[in-house]
Formats: sequence, C-alpha cells, structure tokens
Amino acid sequence: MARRRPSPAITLSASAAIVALALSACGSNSLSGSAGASGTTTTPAAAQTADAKLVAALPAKIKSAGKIVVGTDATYAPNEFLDADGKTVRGMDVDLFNAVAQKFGVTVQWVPASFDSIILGVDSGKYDVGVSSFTINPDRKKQVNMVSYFNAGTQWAVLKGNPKKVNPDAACGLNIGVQKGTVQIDDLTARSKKCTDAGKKPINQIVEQAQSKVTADLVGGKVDAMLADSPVGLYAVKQTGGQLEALGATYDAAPYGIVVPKSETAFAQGIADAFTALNASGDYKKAIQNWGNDTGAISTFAVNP
Amino acid sequence: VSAPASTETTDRPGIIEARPVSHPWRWVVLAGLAILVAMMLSSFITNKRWDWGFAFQVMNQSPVLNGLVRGTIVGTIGAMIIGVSLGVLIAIMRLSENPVLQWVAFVYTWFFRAIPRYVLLAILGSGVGYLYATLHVGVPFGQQISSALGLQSDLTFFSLDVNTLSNSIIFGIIGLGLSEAAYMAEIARAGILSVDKGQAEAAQALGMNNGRTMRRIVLPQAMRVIVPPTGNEAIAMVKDTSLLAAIPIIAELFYQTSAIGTRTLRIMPAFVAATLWYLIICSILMVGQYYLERHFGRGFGQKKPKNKRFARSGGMGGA
Repeated sequence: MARRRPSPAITLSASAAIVALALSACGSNSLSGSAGASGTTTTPAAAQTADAKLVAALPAKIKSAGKIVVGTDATYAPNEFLDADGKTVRGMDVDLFNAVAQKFGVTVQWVPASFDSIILGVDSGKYDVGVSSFTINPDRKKQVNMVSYFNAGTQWAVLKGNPKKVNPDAACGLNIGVQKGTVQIDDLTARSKKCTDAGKKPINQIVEQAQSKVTADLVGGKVDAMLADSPVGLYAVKQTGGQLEALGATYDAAPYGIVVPKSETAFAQGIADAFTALNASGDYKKAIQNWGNDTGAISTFAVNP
Repeated sequence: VSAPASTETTDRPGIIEARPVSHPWRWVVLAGLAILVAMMLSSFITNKRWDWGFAFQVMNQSPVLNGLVRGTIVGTIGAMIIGVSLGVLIAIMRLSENPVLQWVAFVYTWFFRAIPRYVLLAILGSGVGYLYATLHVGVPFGQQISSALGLQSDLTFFSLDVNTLSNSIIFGIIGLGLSEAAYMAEIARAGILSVDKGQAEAAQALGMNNGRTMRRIVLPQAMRVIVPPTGNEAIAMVKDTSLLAAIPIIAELFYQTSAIGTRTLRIMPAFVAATLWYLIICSILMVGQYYLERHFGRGFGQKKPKNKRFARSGGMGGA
C-alpha cells in the first residue's frame, strides 16, 4: 500500500462526531401555531423565607444535599408537564412544591419518571418525595406517607357535541381512554363489572402510559371518551381549542397527596405545616388560581388524612 | 455483410431469430405500483393531517436535536462499543477449553438474550436502585473483614449513588450494551468458527501463542463474517434507543418528539419527524456499513464488475 488511508472505523466515527456537532449547533426553540401551555405567563409564587422549625424537620440526606429530589410524571398538564425546552418541569404541583421547598430553605430537583414507578422510587430512596397528582387512597397510604394539598375529582370528557352519545352511567361496550396506574382505572373497572353483571358488553379500557396520549387518543378518535382527574380533564378541554367538552360534573372528589417515605413522618408533618403557612399567607391560593384550579383548594393539610 | 451466406450449407441451422423473453406481467405490476405510488404521493399533499411543515419544524427543535445527539447517537455508539467488545470477549470464553469460562459465557448469553430490552431497561431504571441504593467498590466482603480485624477503613475505594446514575444515559448505555453483548457474542462466535482451523494451527506452528493467534490471525479473518451482521445490529440499536424511555431518559429523540406531539396534540407530524430522523441516521449507517464490508472483504471471493448495472441493461428493455 503506497499510502495509508484512514481506517473506515475512524472515518465513520469522525463523521458521526461531525454530524453530532453540526446538529447540536442549530435548532429552534419555537413552534409556529402551537397551542403551547396556557398560563405560560404565570409568575412564580412569591419567594418564601426559610422557617427554622421546618429546616429542623428535614431528613439529613436532604439537608446535606441542599435539594429535594422529586419524582414526577411530567405528562399531566396542567399539574406537571415538560416545558417547550424539553427539560424543565412546570405546572401547578411544581409551583406549589417549589414554594414548600423554599420554606425548608432548599431547592427542588424535578426528575421526570413514569407514574407507576414513582412510589417505588420514593421507597427506594431514588426520589426524596413524589409530587405527581397522587390521589390519596388506602393502598397508597399503606405503603407511604401522603400529605394532602389539593382536592380533585374525576372528570369525563368527550369530543365536542358528544357525537358518540356517551353516557358515563351507560358506557358499556365503548372505548374509554385512561392513564395507567390511576384511580380512574378502578372506577372504570367497577363500571365495567356493572355492565357485565347486567349481561352487557364490558367497557373497553384503552390504557395509555401518559395522560397526554389519552387526550390525543380522544382528539384523534381512537377512544370515545376519557376519564381523568378534574384539573387535567378540564385543562385538556380548554387546551384543545374547542375540540373537546367536559361530560357531566366532577365526582368522587378526593385529595391529592405528596408522597413521602413511611420512615420520614416528621418530614411529612413538616410539609403539611409548610402548606398551612403558605395558605395563611395567601400564596397557596394564588398558585392554584394561576392554573385555573381554584375549586380544588383545601384548607386543612394533613398527613394520611 | 461479406457474403457469409455463400458458405452456408443446407444441413446447417438458419440464422437464429433471437428475441428477448417478453415479460408482460412486469408491465402490469409496474403500472399497478405506479398508481399506488401516485395515490400515496397525492395523499401526502392533499391530506392536511400529515402537516409536513409542522413535522419539519419538530425535526429542528432544540430539545429534539439534543435528544437525537445525546440520546440516540451517543446511546447507539456507547451501547455498540460495550456490546462489541464484551461480545467478542464472551465468544472467546465460549470457545475456550476452560469449562468454567464456557459455562459462564453460556449463562450470560442465555440470560441477556431471553430478557426483552424494554423490560431490562425498566428494571435498570427503577428496580436496581431499589435493591442497591449505593454501589461500593472495594475489597470483596471488605466491611465484614474490617469489622473482624477492627480496622478503621471498611476497604471501600469509592461509592456510586445508583439512584442518581439511574436516570442518566450511562445506565441506558449499560443496559443496551449488556443486552447487545449477548447477540454480538453469537455473531462473533460464528465468525471465529468460520475461520479454517488450519489457520490457527499454522500460526501455532510458527510459534505464536493463543492470544496472538487470535488477535493476528483468526479475528482479522473472522471480521469478514462478523462485520455484516454487526452493521445490522448497529442499525437495530439506533432504533432500540427509543426504548430508553423505559428508564426513563428524556433526552432521547422519540421521547422529545412525542412530548411535542402530545403537548400540541399534533401526534402524527411528531411521529413523522421521528421517523424521518431515524431514516436519515440509518441511511448514513448503511453507507458506512457498505464501506466497512468492502474493507474487511478484501481479497475474498469475486470482485463485482464495475459496470454491472449497465452490462445487464440490454436484457431489461425487452418485452
């Protein structure tokens, strides 16, 4: 060989590196005609000052790290969702819990996770707490401490004008969309059992990994109706620009809870106290109103209510 | 032209009236396909739900590009590096004469070939940190030994926080790489076995030891058999990086395009954007694979004639 050609492997990896560099150099941050998240102009809740009594209740691990690692399923707009940069988690839960963390004098690291892995993650110490619109129910209370901070019910939604004539009390044989691991699945399963007991066809649950996919399924016509927590269902109706409408009233109201490990009862009580202080100063209400969720406000914050 | 007919005698066959075989069905199929393609193209333009403009915009979003580079491309390269090097090692273990090594290699391949990648990644993402929150690297049973001897140190060199690591691309690369190694081991084993035994024997006759024989004689020849399926594996790996969402790693192409799709409720254009990026990346890899195959196939088998396409074209136009 007269002259050495660079080996193909080197050429390949070099060109891969060039492509990678070229790609990371450009890219736009805006989408034309995108609905975006409404309430994007929210002003973050007023900065809170740390409370010495609360700081004392912090677990040692958080105190030394200076931050609370929070597991959240960022597909649940408006409570928690990814911002347009594809990294930042935003939403009502985020505003609320950021204010709580300020009371403790620490920051929050929001870690997107899949909803059904969050409680396991809190148990294992992967996350310090879970903040992801968890409805408090007996099963969850058995496994972890739950601090109530909001009241949400279940809301049905259908396409504008209800073209399929869906009736929540007679949904036998229909395709109904719902997110994996939610309390709405139990609700649907009970309704489906009523159908089969009456000799009718069962409800066909279309269970999606993410709530945003459920909403998309409804808009796209894959499902006839969907069930979701009231803030989320109502937000989807608003967000889809008149393509959807709420069906019936909110029912089965139940509190949302912050998920805290069973072993950290003092910390859980501290979080409840922080919420009580935020409520007294009016910042709690302000944060909730910002996201159009005023009706879900509560005034008593408790551990495992 | 110069009167060959005059030499022709009656017992010789006449001039052959050679006509190409006609292929009428080819034309029928061609017409059918042309209509299908035309219908597809027209639907691309007329069906507004494709929303191409939006799809191209999604392709150019910074989070999408970031996911493409840091999730898909880095993930593929990292996983293939682990997969190929570990795979070759396991193949050599499998072919060694040491029964313990053989058995370990077999168990490894058996385990990782049987676990779906999605399941493996979900376990790595949520389960491992639950079992072992921190990983201490040190002397085996160091804690027990030091407490028995009453030492100050517990013989741990450094500790890794598994839970912090488990959301990073490193875990994704490890997961995909471990799984890939099982497949690569089989490919490398087939490649090594394809090299004639005489080659190794000749090398040994020249006084080479086992390691050198493998490095200098067997593996270079095995590459001819190993490279084509490895290229396939690399292309498959590009697509498998979309499974990283199971961990979950959010800096990844499909996660980011889906996030845009669900946020704007324009699902299909977001899928199109992801599809186009995967097509582009895989096409580049296929070109690379062609040159790699040519490099390692040197001096083996027949060379393709350069103008093969044109040489054949005479027979095509018939019918």
